[in-house]
Amino acid sequence: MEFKSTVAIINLTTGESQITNTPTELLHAYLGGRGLNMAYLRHYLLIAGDPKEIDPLSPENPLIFGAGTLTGTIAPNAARFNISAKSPESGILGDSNCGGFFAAAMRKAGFDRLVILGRADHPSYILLEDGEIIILLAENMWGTKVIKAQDLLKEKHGPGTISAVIGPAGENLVRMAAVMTGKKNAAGRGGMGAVMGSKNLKAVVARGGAPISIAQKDTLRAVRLQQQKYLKDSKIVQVLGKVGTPLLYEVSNRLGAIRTHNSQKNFFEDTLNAEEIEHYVDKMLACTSCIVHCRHRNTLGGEGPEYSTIGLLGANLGIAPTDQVIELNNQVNDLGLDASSTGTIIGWAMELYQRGIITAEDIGNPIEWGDFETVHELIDDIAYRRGFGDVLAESTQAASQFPPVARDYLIAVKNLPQSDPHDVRYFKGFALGIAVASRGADHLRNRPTLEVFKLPEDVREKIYGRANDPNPEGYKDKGLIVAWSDDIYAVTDSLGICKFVTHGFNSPHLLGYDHFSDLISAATGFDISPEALRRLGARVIDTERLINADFGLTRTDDTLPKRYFDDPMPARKTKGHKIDRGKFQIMLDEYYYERGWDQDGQVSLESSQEIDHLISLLGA
Amino acid sequence: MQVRVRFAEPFWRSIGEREIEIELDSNTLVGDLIGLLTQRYSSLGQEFNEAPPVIFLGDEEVDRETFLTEDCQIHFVWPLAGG
Repeated sequence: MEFKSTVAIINLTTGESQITNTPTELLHAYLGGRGLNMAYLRHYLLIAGDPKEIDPLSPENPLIFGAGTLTGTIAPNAARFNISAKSPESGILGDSNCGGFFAAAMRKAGFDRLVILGRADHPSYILLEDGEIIILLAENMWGTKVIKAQDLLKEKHGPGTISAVIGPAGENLVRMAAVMTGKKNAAGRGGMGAVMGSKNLKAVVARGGAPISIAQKDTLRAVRLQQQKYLKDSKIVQVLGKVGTPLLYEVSNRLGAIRTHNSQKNFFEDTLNAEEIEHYVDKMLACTSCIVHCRHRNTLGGEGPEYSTIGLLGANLGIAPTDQVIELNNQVNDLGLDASSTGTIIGWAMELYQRGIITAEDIGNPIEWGDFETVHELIDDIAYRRGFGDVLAESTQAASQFPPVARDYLIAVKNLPQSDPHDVRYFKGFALGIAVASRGADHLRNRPTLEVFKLPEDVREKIYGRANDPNPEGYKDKGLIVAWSDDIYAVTDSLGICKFVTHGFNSPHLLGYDHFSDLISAATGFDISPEALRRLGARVIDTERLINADFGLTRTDDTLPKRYFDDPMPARKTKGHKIDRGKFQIMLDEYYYERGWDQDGQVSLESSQEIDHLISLLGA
Repeated sequence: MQVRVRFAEPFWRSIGEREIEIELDSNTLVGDLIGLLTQRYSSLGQEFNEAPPVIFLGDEEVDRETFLTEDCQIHFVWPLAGG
């Protein structure tokens, strides 16, 4: 079986589509998912003009859906895909990774990747069915929330229909709008939902088709069973399957590292502990081929919440009652908003109000910490762009409508609000990670989570390739471990595999390059060594760096929120910790060195030329 | 002396309670407490072996060689920081 990847170029302005295969050399260099999306994104951005000048909400912005190489196969936890574009939230690289069932359905319908260009005249959706692409009018569903839209599409096209939809937030071009593939499964980061909305695209729908071709079925089955056993023996896999990510809340909270009141405080109530959330759990659910089952179906009509949502719509806003936080979780998901950005931006507005930087007169109503009713109303107003909600719908770009000092309280990097509720002033590697992450402040690009284990020296050396300082509070060797994490997470995102089974993410006993190599060979027939896979991860990171350089980013953009440098953490074990500006710069130097970049953070000429060559294979 | 012991996920599930109070002799070390707990709750010993906890005495992270004090609170937490 030949290893191939099908890509559809869909022009919504003309209604024309073209189906082709990714050039083999390019496919081997990036595999799929996030990696291959980056090659296509750079190519189409450069075709559209000067990337700096492209309005992310204009027809010129390419929108790319890319399934992982292993997505939809029986490889463990291979459910994921990436949506990429210029981000309307940050104005730089936009890329969001998502689970659920959509990506497998997209592949079965005959497509590994979609490049969506232009803008439809009328609200529309794309139907992918048995290798065909049909653009249909979506007028009867424009204005619907996420669950309703998914239900309508299922009613119309029958059982087995899986859709990636936007809610009111995406339609109203809210800059933190998500694309939703289920009640909770979200491509949340960077406003990809707003890009869909700007194209008058309500949904991409997949159905029908045939099983995904597998090079060596028996071998893949054997590898799956072997890896499944290995994973099921892992403690983190077992516990995630019981209680999901909420288990992380108590850990961060006990440490004094849970973002509270926009990071003015660092611990909060126990009402958001996993066992409190558990009272509202109906069932644990899974994505395609998942063996973890970490997603809750809650008794209040939705799915989740995840740890990030608990932290950012709970502690960060001072909202303690468990049911209220779950209700906010369900609300943002059904409106199609990114929970991380929404919680961060509302928390920021609350502090601006607390400090008198904005007043009740400016915004219509007081917004006090813990005021569930006001937050609930404000979330609706953001999605529908009403009143002060219209201002916050601009996400970080709302700063231009506030006094300049407002920026000092914004917990964002590269104009992307921080994704997770962990206050990074204590673990210095975490701080470096969000400073250099290619899409802005985000833990899923490179968080070196193993820092918390304080692993023995020999184990650390084995993992990271050389001896390194085990002190998580220190600044030394953090460049090494963040670069290591960068690479392996870029590979899993390219394969479509979940972080929860990825070596280095919460455990050193999960799937690493050796395991991935076996899976790729069995699934596609393409042999790639573990070493070459790591180089592939590095290539993805370099490509992202080049894209951001095209947007004008430089070393000065690899930084942290002002508060993380200036304000010491106020309580518990982390008390007194903040980031030293001088030491941060040394950490950055080390990171660039590990990446093979120069001291301005620029990709090496050799790597840049290789990437230019690979992307040139896509033609003019 | 009286000591309160709190268990985070997943440890509390081994004993069925989030928090217990326990009477100890003075001059008891954290390590002695762990020995006593794992003797009383055998599955907790297995949990601690599989996922060694971070131990907090009040707000301070401590090790097995730390002395417990009257009315203190010990918290066993699984070290994690993903998302």
